[in-house]
Amino acid sequence: MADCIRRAARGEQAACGQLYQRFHGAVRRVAQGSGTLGAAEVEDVVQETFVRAFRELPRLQHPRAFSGWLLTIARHHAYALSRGAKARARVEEDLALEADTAVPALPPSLTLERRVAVVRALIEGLPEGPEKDTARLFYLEGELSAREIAERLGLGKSAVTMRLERFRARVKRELLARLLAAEVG
Amino acid sequence: MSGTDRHLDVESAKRLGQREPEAVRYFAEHLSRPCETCEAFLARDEAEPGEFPGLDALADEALVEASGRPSREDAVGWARVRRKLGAPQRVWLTGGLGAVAAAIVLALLVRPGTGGPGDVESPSQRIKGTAPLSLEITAAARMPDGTVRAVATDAVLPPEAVVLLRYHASESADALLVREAPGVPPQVLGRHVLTPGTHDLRDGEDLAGVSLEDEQGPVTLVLVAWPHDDQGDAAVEAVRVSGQVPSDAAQARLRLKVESGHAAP
Repeated sequence: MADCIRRAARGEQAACGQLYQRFHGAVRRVAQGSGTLGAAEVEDVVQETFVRAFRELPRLQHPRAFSGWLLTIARHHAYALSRGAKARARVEEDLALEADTAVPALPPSLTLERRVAVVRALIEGLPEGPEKDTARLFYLEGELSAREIAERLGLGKSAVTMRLERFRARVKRELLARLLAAEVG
Repeated sequence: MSGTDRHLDVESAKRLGQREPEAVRYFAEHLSRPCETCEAFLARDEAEPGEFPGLDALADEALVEASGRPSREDAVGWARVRRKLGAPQRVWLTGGLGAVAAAIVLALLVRPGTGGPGDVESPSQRIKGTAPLSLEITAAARMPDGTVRAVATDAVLPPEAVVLLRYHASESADALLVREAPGVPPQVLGRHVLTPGTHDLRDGEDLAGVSLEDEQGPVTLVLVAWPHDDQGDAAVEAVRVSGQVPSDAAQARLRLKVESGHAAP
C-alpha cells in the first residue's frame, strides 16, 4: 500500500485508481453518516475528496497517514456541504493544515485491529434501544446511510446524525484515553 | 472545581496539547470511563485548530472498518474523479505532453480517409495502420439510470454518462487515450499497455471509463497505439521527447456529441 501511495503521489494513474477502489467505500461511509446529505451529495463528497487528495498527495509526508488523512478530508467536505459557505471557508483553512500534521508512532493499543475491536466492544456495551440499533446498523452492518436508517427506525434524520456523532465521540474518548495512557507508560 | 471532576474543555485540551504531565495523567485515567461531558466536548463541530491532532482520523479509520465490508468496484466514480483530475494529468506527464498530443492529432488528421463515412463500422471504427498492428475500439456508456448501452460513433450522450472502451489489438501495444474537442488543446487521458485480443481498456485493474461531466458538444476519443517494445514507459517517454507518434502507430476514433437532456444514445 505504501508503494501504491508513493506512485500515486508521482501521478501514476493506475496507482490512483487502486487507491480509489480500496478507499471509496470508506469515504462514502463517512459522508453517509450525515443525514442531511442525499445520495447525489454523498457522491459529490466522494468525488471532491479524492480529487483533493490526489492533487495534494505529494504534500503528505507519511504514507501510513494516508487513510486517516483521506477520511479527514471526506469529513470536512461532508461537513462543508451540509453547512454552507461559512463552513466551507473554515474547511479550506483546516484542510490546508492537514497534510502537515505530524503522525506519531501509534502505541500497540491503537493498531487498527485494536481500534476496530474498541468500536465493536463499545457498540456491544450500549444498552438495548434505538441508540444501539443506530450504531449497529450504521457501523457494524455498514450498508444503510444515516437517512435510510432514519426511515427504517422511524426517526428524524438529525436524530440519527446526532446519535452517530455521539457514538463517534465515545470512540474518540476511548482512543484518547489510550493515547494518553501510552504516554504515562 | 475539585481535581476529580475536571472535564475536557478548551483549556485542558491546550494543556494536553502541551503534554503537561499532570493533565496527561489525570485525563488518561478520567477518559478511560464514559463521561458525557467530555464526550460532548469531543463531539462539538467547532474544534480549535490542531486540537487532539490525528484523533478524528484514528476514530474514523476504525469506524469505517468495523463492518468489515469490502468495497465493490466503482468504475463510474473513478471515471468521474479521473475526469476532474484532467488538468493536473497533463502536468504529471510533463511539459512535452502538449506537443505529443498535438503530434498525435496531426498524425490522425493526415491519415487518408480517417473519420470518413466509409471508414466507420458501426458501432466500432476499424482503422488499420500500415504496419502489422491493427486496432479497433467499441464503446459502451453507463447511463445516469445505471444501465449500460452500446454506443455508436456520432452518438449523442448526456454529460452524466461514462464511456467505457473495449479494444481489439492484433499484438501487444503501447497506447495513449486522447480526448479532442473543438477549441481546446488535445488532452491525454491516460496511457495504457494493450494486450493481443479483445479486452476492456483498463488502468491497472480498473476499467478506464471516461466521464463526460462538464462536456458540451462534440468530443472525440482517440486511442493511438504502436507495437509494444520491451521498454514500456520508456516507449511513451520516447514519444514525448520526439514529439512524434511512431510511424507504425494505429489509431481508432470515437466521435460523440454531449447534450444535456439526452437519456439514451
